[in-house]
Amino acid sequence: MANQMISAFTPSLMSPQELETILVQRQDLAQELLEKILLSATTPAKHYALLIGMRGMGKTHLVALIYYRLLAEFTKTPTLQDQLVIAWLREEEWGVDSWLDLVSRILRALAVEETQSKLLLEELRRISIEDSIDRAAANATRLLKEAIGDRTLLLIMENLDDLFKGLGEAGQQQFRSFLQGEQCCTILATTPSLFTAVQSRTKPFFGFFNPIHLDRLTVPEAIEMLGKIATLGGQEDLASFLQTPLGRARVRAVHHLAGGNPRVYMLFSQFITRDALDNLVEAFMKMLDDLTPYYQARMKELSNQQRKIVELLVDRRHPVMVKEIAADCFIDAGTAASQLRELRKLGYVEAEQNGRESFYELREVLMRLCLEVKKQRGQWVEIFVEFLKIWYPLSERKNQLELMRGRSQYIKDEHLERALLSDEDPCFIGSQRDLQRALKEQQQLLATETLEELFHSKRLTEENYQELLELVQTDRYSEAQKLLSESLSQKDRSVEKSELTFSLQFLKGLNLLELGGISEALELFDAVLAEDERYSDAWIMRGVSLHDLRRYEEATASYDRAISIKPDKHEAWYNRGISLCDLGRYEEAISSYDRAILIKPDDHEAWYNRGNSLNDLGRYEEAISSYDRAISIKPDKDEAWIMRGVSLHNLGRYDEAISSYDRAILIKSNKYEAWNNRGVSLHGLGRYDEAVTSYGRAILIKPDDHEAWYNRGNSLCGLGKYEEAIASYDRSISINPEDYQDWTNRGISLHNLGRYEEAIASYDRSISINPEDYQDWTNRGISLHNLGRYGEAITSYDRAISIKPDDDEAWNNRGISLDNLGRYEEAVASYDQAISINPKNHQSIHNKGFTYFKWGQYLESINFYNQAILIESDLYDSWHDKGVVQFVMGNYEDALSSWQRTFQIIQQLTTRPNDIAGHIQEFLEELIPRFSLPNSQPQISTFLTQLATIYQQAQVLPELSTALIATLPQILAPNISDYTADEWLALWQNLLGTKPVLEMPLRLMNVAIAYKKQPTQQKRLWLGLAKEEREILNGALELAVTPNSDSSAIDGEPQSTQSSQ
Amino acid sequence: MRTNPGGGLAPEEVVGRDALIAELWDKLERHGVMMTAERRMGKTSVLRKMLAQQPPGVTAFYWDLENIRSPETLVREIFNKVSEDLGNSQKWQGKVQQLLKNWGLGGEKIAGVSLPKPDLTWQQHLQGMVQDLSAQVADRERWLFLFDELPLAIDNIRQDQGASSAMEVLDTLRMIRQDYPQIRMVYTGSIGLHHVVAELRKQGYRNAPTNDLPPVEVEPLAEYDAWKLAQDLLMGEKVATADLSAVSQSIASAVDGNAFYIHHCVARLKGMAQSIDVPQVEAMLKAAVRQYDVWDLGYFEKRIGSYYGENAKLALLALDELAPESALTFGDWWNRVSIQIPDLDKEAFRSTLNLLEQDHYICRNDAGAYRFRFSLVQRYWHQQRGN
Repeated sequence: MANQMISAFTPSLMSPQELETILVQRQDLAQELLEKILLSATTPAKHYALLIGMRGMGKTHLVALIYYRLLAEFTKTPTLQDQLVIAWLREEEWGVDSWLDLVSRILRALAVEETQSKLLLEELRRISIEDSIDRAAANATRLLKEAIGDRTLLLIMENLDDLFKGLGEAGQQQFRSFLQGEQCCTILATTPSLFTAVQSRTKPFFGFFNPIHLDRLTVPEAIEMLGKIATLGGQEDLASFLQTPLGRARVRAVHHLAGGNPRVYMLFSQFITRDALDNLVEAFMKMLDDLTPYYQARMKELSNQQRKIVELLVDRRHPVMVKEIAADCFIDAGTAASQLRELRKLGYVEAEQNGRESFYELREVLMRLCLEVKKQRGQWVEIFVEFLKIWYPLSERKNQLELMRGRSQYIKDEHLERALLSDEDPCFIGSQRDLQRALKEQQQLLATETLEELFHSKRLTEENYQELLELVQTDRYSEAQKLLSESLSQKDRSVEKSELTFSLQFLKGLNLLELGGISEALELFDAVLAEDERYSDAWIMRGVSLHDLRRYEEATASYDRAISIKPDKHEAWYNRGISLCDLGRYEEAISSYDRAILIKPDDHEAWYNRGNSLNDLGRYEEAISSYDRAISIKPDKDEAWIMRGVSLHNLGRYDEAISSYDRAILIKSNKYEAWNNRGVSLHGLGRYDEAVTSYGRAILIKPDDHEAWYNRGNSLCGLGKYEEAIASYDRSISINPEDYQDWTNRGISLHNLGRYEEAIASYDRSISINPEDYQDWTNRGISLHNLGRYGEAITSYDRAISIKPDDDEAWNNRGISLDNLGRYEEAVASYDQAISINPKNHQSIHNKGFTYFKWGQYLESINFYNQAILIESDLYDSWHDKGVVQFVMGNYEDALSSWQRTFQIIQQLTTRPNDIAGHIQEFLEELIPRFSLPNSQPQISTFLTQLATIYQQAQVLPELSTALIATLPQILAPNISDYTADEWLALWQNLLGTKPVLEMPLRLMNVAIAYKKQPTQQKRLWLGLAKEEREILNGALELAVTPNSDSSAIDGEPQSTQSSQ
Repeated sequence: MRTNPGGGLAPEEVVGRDALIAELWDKLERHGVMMTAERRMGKTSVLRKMLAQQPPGVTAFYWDLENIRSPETLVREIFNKVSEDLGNSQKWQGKVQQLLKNWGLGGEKIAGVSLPKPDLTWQQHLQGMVQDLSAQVADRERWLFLFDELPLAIDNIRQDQGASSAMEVLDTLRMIRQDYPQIRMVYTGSIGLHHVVAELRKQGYRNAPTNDLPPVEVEPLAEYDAWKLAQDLLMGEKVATADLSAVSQSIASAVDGNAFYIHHCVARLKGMAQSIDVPQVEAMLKAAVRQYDVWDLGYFEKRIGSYYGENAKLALLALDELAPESALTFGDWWNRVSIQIPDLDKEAFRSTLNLLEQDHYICRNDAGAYRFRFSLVQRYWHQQRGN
């Protein structure tokens, strides 16, 4: 799906929001530039920034973004318009050839927004016609000063190099003199590269600008940009895929050819969907097709001679010496050298030095590929992209053990507060509440009536009553509210208990309870009961007071007293149920509610609270029935809908739960619990993006509640948006740092991003809060393992196992780490534990086979691979590894048969696995040492001829290509003779040399073997390869020297338990 | 403080120049000044700070004259600026109308396109103006003309109008200083006026147009000021450092206390790492010199060919030998170079060293040994030409 709003060539056409959304890498720079422009506008300091970046590096994007941010600043701070004025000289400002002309362009740019500048521009035109150039230039300066006035002029000057070229040195001097003399301008300029007029010490503008080189996008930044564009275009599945190791590897493949030019990724984004990115080749070829007119236009900008040179470099693909270029282009060496210098300055070519010779090649691989495709050589490009597609996951495999498993405890339920008091209070409380509501809602009639009731119940003095009445009648409700509160409180506290009558004591107790004076209220109820212990209402209200004081046992006893006096007292049964519930005595609570309901069947509160107790007991079906009764009595009871949703969710009926939450939201849209719980159910259905939206609504209502942030983090994890998930967990942690689950899931996200050290730190925080969570220890072990810290990983697994001895995954992972340390016996014992816990755990059985293979116990190894296959007959990796053992044992026929089966299984799979190249590489790693043994080659050659046929039939030659490159370090190792290396190359050339897909890897192998023989000639040899091929070779050979990829690490890698998330 | 490499600094951002400015004011009490320094040493910043801190009795005007290509445009610019500044000045509010009238400007807004009285020469215009200005102030009061990029203006005039016009401008300005003691001038610019005068000498110029303007060299910032500036900038840009003092010190010393480069260095260090330490400063400098050469340090290498003619090879070799060393005595240096150039004349070597010293490549330390004058140039030399 194309992103229509993305403009790869004219970013200024995009909206400010779109520009902001897709900005990557340069957030800090944009902020700094903005700040310095504002400083220039508001202080005498003047900043001159020069953004330097080749075409497509995002200069105009950044400039447009800052322009829009400034416009927003104008809206935010209108006085800024008296301090700053902007003239944007865009890319298309061709042909400025004098100071006069420059001023005219500036005035024209200003005139777009300013009437005065329009008039000044008119005047300038008149003067230009009438005056000499000298006089007109002087006038131009005057008019420009007039246009700027007391403000600072921000000059946005795109392609400053072209502008300065047109201005010439005299024009530049006039410009600089103006800038220096007036100190009224700040500049934000762009250029594809540094140029003499600003770089040379002999030029006026030397050292004048702050040069800011725009960095190319790194792979993670390219991924971020593509992800943002995907999200902007509603392609959530693509955004998620980009976060996976495979998605990242795909972008890395593109980066290999396209480099870090942001425009390329903006363009590439137009052609990718989740599937297109996975397949890669088609999307890449489409992008090349779209870029071709751009590169053709760039070719047209060149002179004939320069174009000829560029075409030659396209044909040769690798760097070429000047004299060779001269000869092939029929020009003399001097002319060729000077044209190459110019092309280099223009950014078309770059040079590599070898001794005294300069070798030139095209700077942008992508340009060469585009032009190659036009020359009907697209097939080669497709093969190379396919190679890269397989190469990157393979080259990263050593560091990317996917041992991770997810946690299942993502869900947290929000339980609602329960009602404590029946609202059917006796006496005046109703009047008082009605009055308070009437005042709040400004209902004059109701307020007057209730005020009178209160007065007659002697709750107000004459004076207070008259004063309140006047306030109500003059619509001064808020003053009345305040006075009511004060007068009631004063009156309540001023009356001595002894002075009160029996009934007034009770009433005062009720009122104090309402106002929060619980202990005082309790004293009064006790006093009342001391006078009349048969007063059941006083026992009830005493119970309520005790409940409020969290003295639930005593409260229950008080209700019991009330019930003993009046067994049909509904309120007593109801409130008793609440206290029992808070004591965790749910069964008794339910019985109490039942009695209340028996007396008053339409009490929706009783039905609702009964439902809550049933829910707490896990009797969800019954709870739902109870909520249904509450809802049938009071259909707008949103709490009941929410709790009904919770029960449905707990039954796994997520869809119905969501409908229930939706009903609650229909009644009250700002119910945090409804949105949050709805998100939880959506998450349960795997509808993570909708869940994120639902949590977003909850967060809008309660930004400081950590649960929605936490849950949002979990759903973002589900979407593979780990960076955002981490940010969400961070918010949750900032609110509640003591929730270990936040730390745990944050650790998982960090792990999934390959940030293992940080993941470990996060698990450590979780463990410090809750040391008994075995999953934290297991996950910590997995991260440590991926860092190669196997010993520490084992210790961590041991802790997990000590907490949960039947955790088969921990035992399995422990086995893998032990295997990596060469502690095979212990590894096997660990796998045995895993298998004894879960006899169907074929991964552990497979891993055991692998350990036995490394231990040299081949028959045992085959035995366990067979056992794994018995459990799951389509385990192609077990089949393949079994073939490797058979090959090592010299059972070539059996090995071929195993691999035949391996590739049959693979061909039947709907999705082609990504680890085929890895398996082939494992085999080659075993093959090479045997190939080097004396007299082994004829037999192995015969065997490989048959294997090559299997590979061809299975169509895995691209995977074979990458495996051959990946095993080059082994061929270059000192234990392999030059003769064997030559034979190795000859073997593959004979077997598959005619296959186009093998052409490039065999060429690289040829160069690598020549380098093995003549290490001092590396540079010369490398210069025979194209830039992208050199990078592959460098990458392959670096694998041999990085600490984590020594031969033992390569050998010692068992199959791992995959994520169960 | 925020970094602003190459930009216009606010007066309060121009640090470590108080002593120099005090010295300049002191000298200007008695005579004009020729302010000299390598490019980007901060001459213009000093002038701007002086302009913002004029002592009582001084009225200063600032011109950047690099756009001037004729005596008439020079005088017109002087008229424009004086008229404009006086027009905006509270102090001269009462008198400005009369002055403008005297100068033929009739009290109107300055048109700025031609000299006001067509019947007078540019010299007469200029003299008339300074005469009027002088008459407005007491004996101890001064009009201060700060002429930035004057050498460029003179050279432009020489190229466009001929050498005699350029000579006349220099002589007229000198004559004004002689005849009107209330007028003080500061000459400065990115190229040395002596180069321009040397060109005029070739055309027969015999006068000494600046012998009344003693030179004042703008030196790099003192060690403490440079360290403080680096520290203020690191803090202003919120650059986290492992050791603020040590990082500031390493920046300041690597660039010999040149404020322009200190601004550049801090701007480059920003965002380079989460926390900057001294090795990262070193890495940044190495990259700045090698990858971009944004400071055009290669210029010091390139100009050897034109400056030293037949001795260019000797000069290059001598500097190559000095580049890896902190300092070399004459004897040691001679031994190293003479072994590589058979029949090298010792006096020719000595005179080449003298020229290198004059051209700011080298200087001598307290013990009399030679060293590179600028660490950055030495760094360039060692990095780019070493081995």
